[in-house]
Amino acid sequence: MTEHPAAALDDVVHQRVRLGILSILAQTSEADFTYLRNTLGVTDGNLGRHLEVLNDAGYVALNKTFQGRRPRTWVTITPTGRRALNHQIATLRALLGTLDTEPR
Amino acid sequence: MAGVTVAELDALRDRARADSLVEAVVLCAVGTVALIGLLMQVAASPAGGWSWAWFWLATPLAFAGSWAALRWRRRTLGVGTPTRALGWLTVGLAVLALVVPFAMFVFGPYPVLMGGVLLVGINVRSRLLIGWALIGGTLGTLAGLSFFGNRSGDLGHWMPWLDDAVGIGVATVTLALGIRAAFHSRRP
Repeated sequence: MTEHPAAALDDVVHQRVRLGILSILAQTSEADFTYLRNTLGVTDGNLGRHLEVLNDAGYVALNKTFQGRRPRTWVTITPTGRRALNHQIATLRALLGTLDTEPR
Repeated sequence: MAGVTVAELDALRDRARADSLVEAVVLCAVGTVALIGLLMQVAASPAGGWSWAWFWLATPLAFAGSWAALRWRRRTLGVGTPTRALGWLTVGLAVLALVVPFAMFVFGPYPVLMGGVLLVGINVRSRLLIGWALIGGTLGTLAGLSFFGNRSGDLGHWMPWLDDAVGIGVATVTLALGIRAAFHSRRP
């Protein structure tokens, strides 16, 4: 029996906000905390927690800098994170294909 | 659910790409440089005047200007492209223009201009930049080599301006695509 595509989903990446973070970073390579928060419509605490999870998994790298006296956190995607996102999207598309071909 | 998620992710990527302004900035800069240079060329026809000198100076400046604009965008909006790559591209083009200005004189400006667009497109994974650099670059280079006028026989005799028209057409489309991308990047 072949494994259902859903079994290949990565729990770290699959969460909606984390998928959004990785998608943005895959396109632009880097974004700051404020841009991610505003684009994804989440709170500071919520975004911080998700970034921590992605950072612990090695999917993003955080770089804290100062612009004048204002702290600024830049987030970049790592090659591992990019691979994980590509795999996740491929799995989601495969899942869609399964839904389309399943008999009703 | 999966379909909605994939569509949302595509929308997020489109938004991020538009916010980074890379397509708009690079296409507007390259389109403007090409259009001005080709109009100078047509105005001074048939000798071409000093348009090659314009391209020699303006091509590295177009990419340097793009680099500065993208750095400014990164700083103000907090979303960026790897501007270091664009910076090195500018240095490479400046060196190329200084070392082999004759190549631009012979082949026209498009191999260098669109080669730069292609490299930026590959760097930021933009289908628009890669696709247009290949199509526009090929057409523009053929126009620079007087391909259309020579190959079209009688047509070349009756329409000696065909090469200039193709070159200016490519420049205009490049600029139009840049303006369209800039328009798309406006935030509500």
